[in-house]
Amino acid sequence: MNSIFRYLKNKLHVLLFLFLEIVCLISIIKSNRYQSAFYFSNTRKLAGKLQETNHSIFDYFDLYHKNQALSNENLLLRRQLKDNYLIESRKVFTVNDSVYKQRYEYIPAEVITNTINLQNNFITINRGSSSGLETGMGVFCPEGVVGRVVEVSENYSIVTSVLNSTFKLGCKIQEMNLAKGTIHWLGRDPNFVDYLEVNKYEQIKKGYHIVSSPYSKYLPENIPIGVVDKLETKSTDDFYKIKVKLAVNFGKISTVYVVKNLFNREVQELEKKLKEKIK
Amino acid sequence: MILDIAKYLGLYILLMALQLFVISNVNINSSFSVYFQPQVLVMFLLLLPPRMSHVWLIGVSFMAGLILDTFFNTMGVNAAVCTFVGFFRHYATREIENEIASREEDNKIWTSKKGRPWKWTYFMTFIVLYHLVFALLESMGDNFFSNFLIVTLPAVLISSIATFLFTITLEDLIYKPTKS
Repeated sequence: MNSIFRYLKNKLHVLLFLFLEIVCLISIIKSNRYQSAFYFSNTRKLAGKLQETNHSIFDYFDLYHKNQALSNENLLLRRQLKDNYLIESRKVFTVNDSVYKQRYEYIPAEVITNTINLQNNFITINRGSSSGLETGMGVFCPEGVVGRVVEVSENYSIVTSVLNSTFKLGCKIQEMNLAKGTIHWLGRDPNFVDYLEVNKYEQIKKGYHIVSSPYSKYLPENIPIGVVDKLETKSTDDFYKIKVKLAVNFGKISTVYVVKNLFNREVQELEKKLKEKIK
Repeated sequence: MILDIAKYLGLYILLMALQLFVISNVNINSSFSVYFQPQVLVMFLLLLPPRMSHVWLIGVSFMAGLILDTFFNTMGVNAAVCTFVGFFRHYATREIENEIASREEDNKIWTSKKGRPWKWTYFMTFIVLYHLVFALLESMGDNFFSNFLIVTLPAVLISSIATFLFTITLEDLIYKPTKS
């Protein structure tokens, strides 16, 4: 017995090394699907505070770009105002219009950390469950789609960026009004994503705009994703090889909007009922 | 003893601050950014005292990486790499202890005791090892094999060279030998 203990004592460093490496690997594998909530909520407070301080310092130097983005967005919104449009028809109809119901709510947030040079990039934002955020919500900025919330603590959330090899999003080709295919980042250039599963018989052209699909549960339709930059076809392949230049410069995101789908719970319950019925 | 701990703690905080506030905010031309990800924390692991026990070295390395993971949402990647480097570093430095006792020089850090070629080889080996393991763990996923030659290897080389230059410069600045 003593010799066993002596042997273990002698090999303590190897055992400790193996134990810690296994712990780390489990954590890495787990975090690919969902990050550990306990670890996250306890450490995020401290890290979040420090990151926020860092962000506020660097944010000051980026005020010019931020102002420009805001004024561009203002311009876009102004163009959509009713006052800008003239009613051409002389006829007046009275329509009992009760079909419009608010579907989305937007929660503004500030980016406090953001990486673009890893294979799986995440963004930390300064809004959490206390602001009504939940996992699975979509995130976009004035320029376009940013990602999806994967983890929420009381005051902070982590967003899987479009620049994450696990992120996929259904798309629509705006010019053709065709909802088809998904975008996926292959971990190479942070300015481009691959647009997959588009049949090569579709009349798609360079310069076409790719936007969010109407079938997305967590993002409204027509949020810009990017522009078709390169198109390739192979005789052996049924699908296009498309490179899309992203609308968002991920190195410069500062303000984002988190999308709250007000019908999401209802849809989920409906899907749950259907699943139970099928069982 | 306490002074030594304070010095290493100071170095750790300095490197963490550099990684968090400076390097992660450096936006080199976006297309190139996937190739430039120097991990300067490796300097802390390389400068830890050679007389530190193997178990302590592994423990301290693990904690150093774990704290970094908290700030970068990398959940275990840095902890795994630091533990790996901490474990193998011991075999490169375990014989230095006696040499320090027998050769008293004016060097302020033990890495200079064996001469520049040894120091540079030691730094470069572990820096490349750190970046290689980091890149392998971090890029685990669907595109791992297709990206290995195009992204992972160039990123390891570029980031290692950047970290090596940074490490020898900062080490020189902090621990410059005093000449009598």
